[in-house]
Amino acid sequence: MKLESQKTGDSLRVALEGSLDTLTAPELEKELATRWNGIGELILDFSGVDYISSAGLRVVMEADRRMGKQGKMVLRNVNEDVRAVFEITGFDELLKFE
Amino acid sequence: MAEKNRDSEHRLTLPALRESFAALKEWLERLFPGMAVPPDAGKKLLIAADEIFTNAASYAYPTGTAGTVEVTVESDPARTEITLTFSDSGIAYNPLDAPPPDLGKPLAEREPGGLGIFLVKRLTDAQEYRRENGRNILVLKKKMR
Repeated sequence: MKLESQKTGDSLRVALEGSLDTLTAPELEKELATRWNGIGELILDFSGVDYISSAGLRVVMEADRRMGKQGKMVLRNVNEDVRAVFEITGFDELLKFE
Repeated sequence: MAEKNRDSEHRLTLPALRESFAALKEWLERLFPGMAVPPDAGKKLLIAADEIFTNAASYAYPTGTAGTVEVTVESDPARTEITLTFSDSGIAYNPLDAPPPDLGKPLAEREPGGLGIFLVKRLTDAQEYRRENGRNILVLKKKMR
């Protein structure tokens, strides 16, 4: 998985590329762990994500939980296949999409 | 016909370690196009394979015990359906019995776990577990058209 982070003020945008699965979800978790402090907005750009498994869902869930305490989190450019997984698991009604 | 059947069955044995999923993923991604698996069905099968394999690699064998997971991919001669079979000689366990997650709860209150098997059930057309000759055998079927 390729991760690209960009911080603008208190907004952090992380662009993901590849699949968010059991192998790559820990990479995103690690990336976020070093960058939480002082972040009021987290933008996860999913334009390069082809699919997501439960390991990826868990990291997204944890990120949403964390950002719920210190600001907001939005998901951008989620493709149809990934969106389907969010819908199946009910995440679509709980997360904010742009 | 027998030759064709042999051609359409593939088997891979992997160490029961979570990181082995990298090799499994690479193998499946290589096989699927040749087996005429449509890309969207292929993605769903990769998600299901992640869930089932990771489960087996994490829980089938006691910590510190070496074990393997055998994965078989086959399609029927008419290529209408693809079957993924996961087999290990670990502790008897039927992952399909996992209780479903409470989808009505806010994310912040949800317990982790249960999501993976729930996804497998929704992304494949049939799932079957059996214990046979001291092995856990989990079969997933996905229609290709």
